Amino acid sequence: MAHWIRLVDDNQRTRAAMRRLLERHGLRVREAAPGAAAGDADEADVVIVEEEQAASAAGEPQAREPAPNDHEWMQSLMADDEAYERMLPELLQRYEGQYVALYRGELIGVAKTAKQAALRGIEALGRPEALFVARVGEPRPEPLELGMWIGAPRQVVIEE
Amino acid sequence: MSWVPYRQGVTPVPHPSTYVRVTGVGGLVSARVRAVLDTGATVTVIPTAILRSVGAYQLTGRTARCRGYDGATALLPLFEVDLAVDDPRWPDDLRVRFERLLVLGVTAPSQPDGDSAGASSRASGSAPEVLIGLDVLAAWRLHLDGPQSRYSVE
Repeated sequence: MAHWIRLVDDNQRTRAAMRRLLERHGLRVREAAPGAAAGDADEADVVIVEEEQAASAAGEPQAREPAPNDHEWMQSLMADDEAYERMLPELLQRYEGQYVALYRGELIGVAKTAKQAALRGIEALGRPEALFVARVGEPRPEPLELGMWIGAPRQVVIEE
Repeated sequence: MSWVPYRQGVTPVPHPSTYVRVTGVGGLVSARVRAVLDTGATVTVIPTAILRSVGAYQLTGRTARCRGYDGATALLPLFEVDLAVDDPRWPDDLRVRFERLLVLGVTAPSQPDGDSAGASSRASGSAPEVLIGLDVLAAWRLHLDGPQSRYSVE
């Protein structure tokens, strides 16, 4: 399946540079012409497509909802942890030993590896996202004790 | 031995930095971002905005306990990503790829629940930056030449 690169603006220089770079690495590149039917099967490794076309392209599911801001997302991640605990009895019956991906309390990916489960979750969402993934039945690990000063100043800002 | 100049002009003190490529699951999306070589960080720290944009994931309950100067502790999520140095100033053979690297995800301080670990993005006043911690730095020999504001890596 070809990978799709979305260009928000029709920037010809960016498009040309991207194509050269990809082809230099041996990838077969196809540009989706404006107005062309998206979703046609082709043998390209990468398809460069404009934003309005990408939404209907084959292999690129549409985003089901807009991405939340970082604050909402972090709350959602913590809620997924709790949702996993609630769903565990049912998950154990159906998916013990497999990996599941959750997003906003909903099961959106199941697979034999964590990566595959996350990938299926992203495909279901239709956009990249950092997801909660769990191996069903695996004991919860203890937090790592890093001894790291997360509040330590890494850089100094001088305000006049 | 080739030298890489410190990053200057952004903060009062020049500092060693490079660029890394962060890649999420399946290699579908990656991002090239500036990274500070931070020997004070036990593990690598990546702003959650970057983790989200490339599609990282957190495995069940993988967290790390960190401390603040005020004594408060915080549990921060650990995510898996692939990370590689993507800096033409570095020797080719040292651009190691770290697969399934566990990194701390920290929300930028501009967010409502912001914390202080994203100080690098606040200080630079622009794009968020990665903090390359000792878990990754252990792969190389670094020579910091403070008087000349440069470093070498081998």
